[in-house]
Amino acid sequence: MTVPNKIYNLTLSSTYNLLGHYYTAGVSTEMQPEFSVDDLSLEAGLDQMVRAEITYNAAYWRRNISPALDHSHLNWGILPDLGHAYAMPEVAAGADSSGIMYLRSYVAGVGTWLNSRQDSLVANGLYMEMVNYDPAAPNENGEYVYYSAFMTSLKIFFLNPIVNSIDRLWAPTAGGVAVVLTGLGFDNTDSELETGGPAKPGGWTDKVDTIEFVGLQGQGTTSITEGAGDFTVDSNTQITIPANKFPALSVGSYHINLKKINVALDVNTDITGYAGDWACDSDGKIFASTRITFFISDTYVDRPFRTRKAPILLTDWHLKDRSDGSEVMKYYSMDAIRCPDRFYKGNLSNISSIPRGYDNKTGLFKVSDLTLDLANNELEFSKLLAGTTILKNQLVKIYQAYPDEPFGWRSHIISMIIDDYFFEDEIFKVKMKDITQKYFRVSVPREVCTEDEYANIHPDSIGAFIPEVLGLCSLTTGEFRGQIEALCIDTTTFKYVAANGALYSIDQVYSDDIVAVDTANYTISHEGDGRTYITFTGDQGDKKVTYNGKGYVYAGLNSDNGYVQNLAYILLYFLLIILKIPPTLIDFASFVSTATVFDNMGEAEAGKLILQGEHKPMDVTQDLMAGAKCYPRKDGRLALGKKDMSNFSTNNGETAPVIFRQLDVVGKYNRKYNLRDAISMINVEYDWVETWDLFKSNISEETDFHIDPFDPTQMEDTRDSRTPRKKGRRRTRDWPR
Amino acid sequence: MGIKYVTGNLITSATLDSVSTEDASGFYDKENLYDKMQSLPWRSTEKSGVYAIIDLGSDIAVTFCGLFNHNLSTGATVSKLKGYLQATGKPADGSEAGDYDEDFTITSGHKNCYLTLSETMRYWAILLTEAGNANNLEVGQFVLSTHATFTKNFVYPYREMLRYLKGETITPSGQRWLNKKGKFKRFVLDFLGVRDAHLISEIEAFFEAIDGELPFVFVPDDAAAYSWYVDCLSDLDAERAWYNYNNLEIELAEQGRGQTLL
Repeated sequence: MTVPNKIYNLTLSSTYNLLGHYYTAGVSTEMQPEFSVDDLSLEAGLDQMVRAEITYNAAYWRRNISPALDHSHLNWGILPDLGHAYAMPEVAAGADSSGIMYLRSYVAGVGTWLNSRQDSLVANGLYMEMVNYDPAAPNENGEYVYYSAFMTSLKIFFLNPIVNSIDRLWAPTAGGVAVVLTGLGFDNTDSELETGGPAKPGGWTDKVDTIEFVGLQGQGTTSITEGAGDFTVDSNTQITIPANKFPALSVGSYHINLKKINVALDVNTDITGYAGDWACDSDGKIFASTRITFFISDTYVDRPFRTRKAPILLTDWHLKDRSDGSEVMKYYSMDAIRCPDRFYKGNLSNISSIPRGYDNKTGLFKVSDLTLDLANNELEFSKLLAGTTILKNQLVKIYQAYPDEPFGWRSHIISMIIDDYFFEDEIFKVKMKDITQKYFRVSVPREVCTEDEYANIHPDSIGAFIPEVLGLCSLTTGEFRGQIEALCIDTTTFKYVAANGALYSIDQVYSDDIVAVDTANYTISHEGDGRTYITFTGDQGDKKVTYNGKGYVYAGLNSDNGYVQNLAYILLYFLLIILKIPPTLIDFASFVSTATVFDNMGEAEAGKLILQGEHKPMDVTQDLMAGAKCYPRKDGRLALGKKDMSNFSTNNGETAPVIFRQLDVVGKYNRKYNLRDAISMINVEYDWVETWDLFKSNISEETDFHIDPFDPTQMEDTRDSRTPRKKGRRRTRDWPR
Repeated sequence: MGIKYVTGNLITSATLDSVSTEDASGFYDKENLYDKMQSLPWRSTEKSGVYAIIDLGSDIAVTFCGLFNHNLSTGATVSKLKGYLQATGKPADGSEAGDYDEDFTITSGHKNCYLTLSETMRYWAILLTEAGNANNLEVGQFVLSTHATFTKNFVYPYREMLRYLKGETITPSGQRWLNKKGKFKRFVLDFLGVRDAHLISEIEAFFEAIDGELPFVFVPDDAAAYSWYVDCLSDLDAERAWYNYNNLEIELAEQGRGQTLL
């Protein structure tokens, strides 16, 4: 059991040295790192927060001095209200540490978090700071104290009731049917609301006590209450409306609003949540969903196939206004369709078929291009193009609905992007491609070093891609050591950019391929631009600087080692952060389940990705899939799936899973899925007769058409020619795994 | 007995003074009352006391008032048209006594209704109340105008057709599946033996009025309560022959009504 919650990752520009090696007495590092409201990206409307947890990573080193770090000078809290400052957690010397800092639901003398701190968090953000640190005798004879810390995630808990599903979605006008709502947060336990803090005197009264049926066609609102015995809150996850209590309602569609009336916070507040607006997974993590529509009808027949009813195609066009970047919504169908909150113009005259398939080579699902014909009546599209509306690369969602049923019951067929359009007489023709095409057309890495950004950049670094690094990257033997090359971006301060994001650590630094640099001769910093830098105490000249390290940290995706290593999560990071595919277009749950499969295979820490040379995203994706398949779902979201070997049962007492017991081959096999245990040769038996294991003979079929199976073992690089650095040429070493 | 048609509409953005309420979605505004698209209605947020007030600027002659693609049921308590002289003054919500006051006749299953009248007034109000309606009240088109008439030479009875569009799927075994796609009325008007005088006056006036393509109001039989908001499908093609005896055919089809998802 848990409380509905949402996690915001804070890693993109979040690592700061609050206390550097060398400092003067009384030094302060003001408000760093700080997360503005924009950094937090808190959605509007999330106004029913009850408490929060902030996970952090911290490290503290000292050399040759005995006093321990004085934590009393280190604070974290909500911006800018220093009244809500908290002491940084204790960190032992010489060790990395991680943990949770609590924004409590209740503070004695202050009140509930909802009333006293939520507004400040939403309006301002979070900070860490070090104030007037004044140690006994630092910075002499090689002594130093060094403290770095960064917040990795913000987890906010909400009082909103969340409805994931309802066991039936329609009822007759007379009522009289039992309905069960399943979700979370219907009646949170006090101890879970108070985790990390003291108990609230008088407890919490956050049980759902009213359910409203809000009519969408003017039927009005009908309420039932728990107090009157109209329904029971069976648990924090279930509400039951018994058959004899379900109210009589007029014909039409309804939204269901759950209310917690006068929750005893500092002020009497109603906590409300429409069923379906948010959904949550088994961990209580909430995500935006679709509001559930309940239908009241005496003629509706609930049957799987609606024969004799022509489905209605609905298209939602998410266009963009180039003047301000705002979204411009257009709605078209084959007929004029009146819905509760929108109207579909009947301009759609034709739509090509929507076949789906998958690519033999990559295993990626592919969606055939789609063509829509729309009548340009009243110069609808001429006007659109003459204005400031952008169509190219914009999203179109296609739904199917049935006449005389709720609009809310429409089903999502597919989402695509507009690839091209043209007029053919009075028809506006729009060609669409699957949604990945929009994001896979670029090259990666996305960032390059420029003179504009780094005034004193080394000439060789101009135009070079800034490395993207995930997983454990280590090459400590051989002639060429250090798997990633750092790029000199300041010849006056001897500063090199190591990675485009915040690395978990840099473990070894090499100069000129093989010379390990003493850690005293460089410092590592994570700066406000989100990148990781290496700054040397002396000039490295034209020597190549390489390093080994541990890749990016991303809360929720990290392995037990504290950084992203699972292949599924590396691919997710690649899609989400590097390719910048919007979260709304990614099926996170599928990546989580596939990551579990990798975990079960013992490969939770096996993945890595180094992007330093130019690559096509599709190639990188293909390499990262490692036997999984990545495909666009019908709603346009990219999903990842993989066969779980544990699902294959053994047969007849055999110890190994039996996948192929009997094959009747009628032609050469053609591998459809990118199975992990890829095969390029197989013994096939033919001329099957009706006895389960009898075949006349067998032959060996072989093909060169395959994908290398995923190999978790780190191989020494043998592909790199390691030519000396020449101006205008860059050595690139990439191992997308 | 004769055929009536109405091409113009005195209701415009300038003359539509006010309505009781309009749907908050932004799609079903009062402007839809005169947008020449009956499938996109003005949708109120109420079922009772629904009104629209028109101010024509001065006392103007009105001979036709029609509501098209409304969702009123037979026996709607109030669905009436009221007129007010300029001297009487503008009504606030139509509840005031009018200089003209007449109920519409709502026919079962027929989503259009109209009144013919002969009044010269400045202010007009439609009033709608049907508390028992499952949905908030809505009207696709509100036409206030003067009408014209074909008096002679058309063939009666005209041809009136009800067309159901169907989608068809046939399986390899011959199982046929039909889906209803939509329906609309279609009319074919045959004019035979039209003489010059009528060709030049009534038919040419009609051609000019509908300008080849405008949707307009068509009342095929002024003795019945039915009216339609139609498009003209055929090219308007009339010819004066030397023998002064001319034939022509006009094909009309009801404008699409659209569908509702609840």
